[in-house]
Amino acid sequence: MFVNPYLTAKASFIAGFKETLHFKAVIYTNIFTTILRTFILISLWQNIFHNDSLVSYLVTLSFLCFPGIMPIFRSINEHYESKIKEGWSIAFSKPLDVFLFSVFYVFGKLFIFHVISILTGFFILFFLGSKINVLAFLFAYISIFLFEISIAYFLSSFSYFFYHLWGLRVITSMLYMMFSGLAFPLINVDKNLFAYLQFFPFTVRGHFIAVSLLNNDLFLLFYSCLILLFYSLIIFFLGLFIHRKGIKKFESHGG
Amino acid sequence: MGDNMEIIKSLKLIFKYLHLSFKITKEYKIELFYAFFVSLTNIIGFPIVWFLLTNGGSNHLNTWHFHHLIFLSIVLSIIYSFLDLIGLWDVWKLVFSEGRTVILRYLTRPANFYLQLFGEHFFVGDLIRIFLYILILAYITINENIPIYNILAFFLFFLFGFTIMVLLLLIPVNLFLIYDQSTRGLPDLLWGFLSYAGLPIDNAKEVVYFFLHYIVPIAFIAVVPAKSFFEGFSINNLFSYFLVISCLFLINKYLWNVAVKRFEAIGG
Repeated sequence: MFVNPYLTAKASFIAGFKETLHFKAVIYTNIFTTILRTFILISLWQNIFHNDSLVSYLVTLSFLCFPGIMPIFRSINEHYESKIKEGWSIAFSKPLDVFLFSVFYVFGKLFIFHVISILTGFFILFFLGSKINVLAFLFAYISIFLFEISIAYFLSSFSYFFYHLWGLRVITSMLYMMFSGLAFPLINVDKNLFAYLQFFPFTVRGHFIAVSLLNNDLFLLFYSCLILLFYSLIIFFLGLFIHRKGIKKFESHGG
Repeated sequence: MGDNMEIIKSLKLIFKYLHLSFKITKEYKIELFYAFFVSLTNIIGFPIVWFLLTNGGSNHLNTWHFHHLIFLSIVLSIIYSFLDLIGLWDVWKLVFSEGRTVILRYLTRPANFYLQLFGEHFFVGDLIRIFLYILILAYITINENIPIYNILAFFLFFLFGFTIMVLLLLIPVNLFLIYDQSTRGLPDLLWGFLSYAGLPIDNAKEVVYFFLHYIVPIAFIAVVPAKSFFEGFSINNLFSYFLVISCLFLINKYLWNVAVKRFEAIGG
């Protein structure tokens, strides 16, 4: 008899939330790191490209599109992997969905940090003169969250076959950092060259959403979120397929 | 004589740990594939990024040309691979999961604390990554006709840069041994800085330039060695390296002494 998914989600969220409250240093260091990181990036790229819109662009990416330096999918996947290492038989014999638990536990852990980070971003952009549509931002945030959960689900499906998932996580994170605009601002890239990246999920998740939010371009935002949701569905079903294969393998081996 | 015996014992222990890591890697072959694909992502990904930012390789980012930037990225990737090879990458997990009790486990054994701590996390699979990166560096060296004098300067500064990286990463480990869980946010803070080590940070504004060179000296990890490869040896850089390494070494030594004293004072 499975525990009600709603209760699992609620309890996991509260557990994660309370853990963050217990270690307040994690919140302070994350916020401090994000501010310092954004400041350094602005100083560097502004000196190289002399582009005034870079400041708003990097602030939007750091605080709104990427609350924190750790992508959500990475935290979920790390947590899920540590649960799986306890053994699939233990995970299966628990009366709750381990993945659901990981997602909401991590979301609870990151919740305060996301709220502070997003508010800081809105505050800075307000003083810089850029106003962002709150509803548009919420829509983008939900799309980003679903996309990240689907990646975490996909990566975790390999846990039936490999003992370690770190390599998959590192490769995904590297692609994420390289092509999202967070470390390397894609705002200055030549449009002809950029055409090849416009359907790349990490570029859509970072660069396109940041640009559409800054320019209040609702059409571009809607289009970007639609692409993200499309990718999320494909990645999720691929993950589901591999999970089913994995469970069959697990059962055929007798655990 | 006694010192020589200690060195021989330590070397034997290192070889044993390397052998153990080799056996583990043989058992879990997926680790080798990971190492291969991680390096492939770097080798393909960074040139694409720099190609886009320099508008097809035709422009340059101030003093950095397209091939300089690729070289810088690969140098940092080699440093990361070496870090993983000597076990410094995974040490956080052990320290976080076991807290200060890790000090009791290794301090009571008749070998160096750090050697045991890192030795258990050696990963020889990284040699694949290092080999692939060295091939790229060799290609750039041959293609650009770099003088031998510059290559030697690069090797020297690369070693110093790697030492700085190790000493920087040891600071949070030592702080963790003193203050336990209350310092668990520090590695995130440090990695937040270290992620700039592969960017042309010598082009930042004066305040940030000073900060990244002399307060958190990440510019000396990869940027200065990569520059010395193309521009040659500089006595100022050598002096800066000695200064930075000495300071970091003294900080770590002090923190380690405090950690051991605190551990002994409260009886473990």
